[in-house]
Amino acid sequence: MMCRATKLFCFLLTAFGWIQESFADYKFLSGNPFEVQRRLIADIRAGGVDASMVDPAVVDSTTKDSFFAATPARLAQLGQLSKVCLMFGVKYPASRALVFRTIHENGCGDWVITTKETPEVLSAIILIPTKLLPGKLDTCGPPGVVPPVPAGGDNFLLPNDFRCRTNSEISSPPSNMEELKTACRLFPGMCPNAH
Amino acid sequence: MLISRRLVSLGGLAALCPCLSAEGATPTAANGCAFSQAADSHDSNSQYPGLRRWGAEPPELALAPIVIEMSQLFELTPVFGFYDDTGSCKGNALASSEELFPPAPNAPFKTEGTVLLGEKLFSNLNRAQYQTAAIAAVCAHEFGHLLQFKYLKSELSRIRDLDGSVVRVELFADFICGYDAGVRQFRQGDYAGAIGALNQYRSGDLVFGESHHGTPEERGHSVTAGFATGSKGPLPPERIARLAFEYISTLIPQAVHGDGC
Repeated sequence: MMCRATKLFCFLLTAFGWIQESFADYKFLSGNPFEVQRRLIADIRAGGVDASMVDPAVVDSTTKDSFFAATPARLAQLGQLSKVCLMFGVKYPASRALVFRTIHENGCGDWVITTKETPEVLSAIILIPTKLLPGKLDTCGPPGVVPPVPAGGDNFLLPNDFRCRTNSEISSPPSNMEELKTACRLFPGMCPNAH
Repeated sequence: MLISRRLVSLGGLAALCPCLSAEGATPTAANGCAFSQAADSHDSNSQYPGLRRWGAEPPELALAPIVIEMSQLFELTPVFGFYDDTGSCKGNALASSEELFPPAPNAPFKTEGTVLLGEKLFSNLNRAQYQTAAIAAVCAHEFGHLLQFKYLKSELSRIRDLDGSVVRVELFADFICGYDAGVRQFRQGDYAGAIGALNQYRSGDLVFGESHHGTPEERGHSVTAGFATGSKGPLPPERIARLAFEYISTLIPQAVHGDGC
């Protein structure tokens, strides 16, 4: 019941294993994913990621131009970073993917950050830039990319909602449960924990 | 890089799922779509005001994992989009076997049909508690119509003609809506699947006639029947379509025509 009430928070804890204290390296799972994403962008802009902390493929994806690459030139086109939104995450057997949308002065970046669990090492970075909508400063067009749902979907968790969550909102109190209580009263068979 | 090959381009998924069939279904009550008997020889795009592809606002990212999972579960890859449904009371959604948008360039798969969500409906769902389950329920209902188009078109048309109403066609889609919630809850114990039943219950109507979608009780019961099936785990799409058809085949609607008293 507790987990139901704090669904999003539980989702983030279980899917991302977030522990606020750790900030070392590019530890999206055990560190603060917002801070790590900001630092990752800064490092790429400053000349490159720390190659000792990532898979070789990640270095390539931040240096060699390609459709999905997060190169300094592409980040320069996006301009100054204003906001990092964590949209959702996907849990795979030995790794996890975090989907971010970053808001910049000239557009948005849709990111899929894939990291192994043990050791916690970045294994892939995808960036798809998207344009700001006409007349908007913080709203972009269609989502550029999402990670695949794991086969069977057993470890794929749907968060309670998908709005842009910033660092300050990540542990916000859960919404109330009135709707679910009403639903479970009418359809108790669909609420196994409600009995 | 393996992951980049496996990534799904949402440009390719950005398809609609209006409830229109090749026979020309028309949107009617909230959260549903209906077959119509009229021939659909017109330019289908022109009948949807404000038609646009999915994804113009960030909250629509919510659709991404929902649609991808349902595409896998039902083995269907519709295009999703939006239209202006402000003319309806509660908002609306539709499914169509037609492609209402030009194909996305370099799409990694062939699209099958279209799902359209009304702007008003989506806005309401997006503000709802348990937003994910609410949006997923509507999408699953529309996927239910796509399953009809693919596997049971003639059978469902026969039932619709027999009833003189889309009521059992809609209850079929509600069964699929419940099935999807059951599968999701099978995979994720704390998923709020009952929200879908509540929303379909609230979308029930007592306006009997050819556009009647089912009473609140009928809609809620259809969702729970599908849920019971899905909560044991996923089934092949054609199998679940036939189970839904079996369910509605034996169903006697409370009323189809008349005042329902």
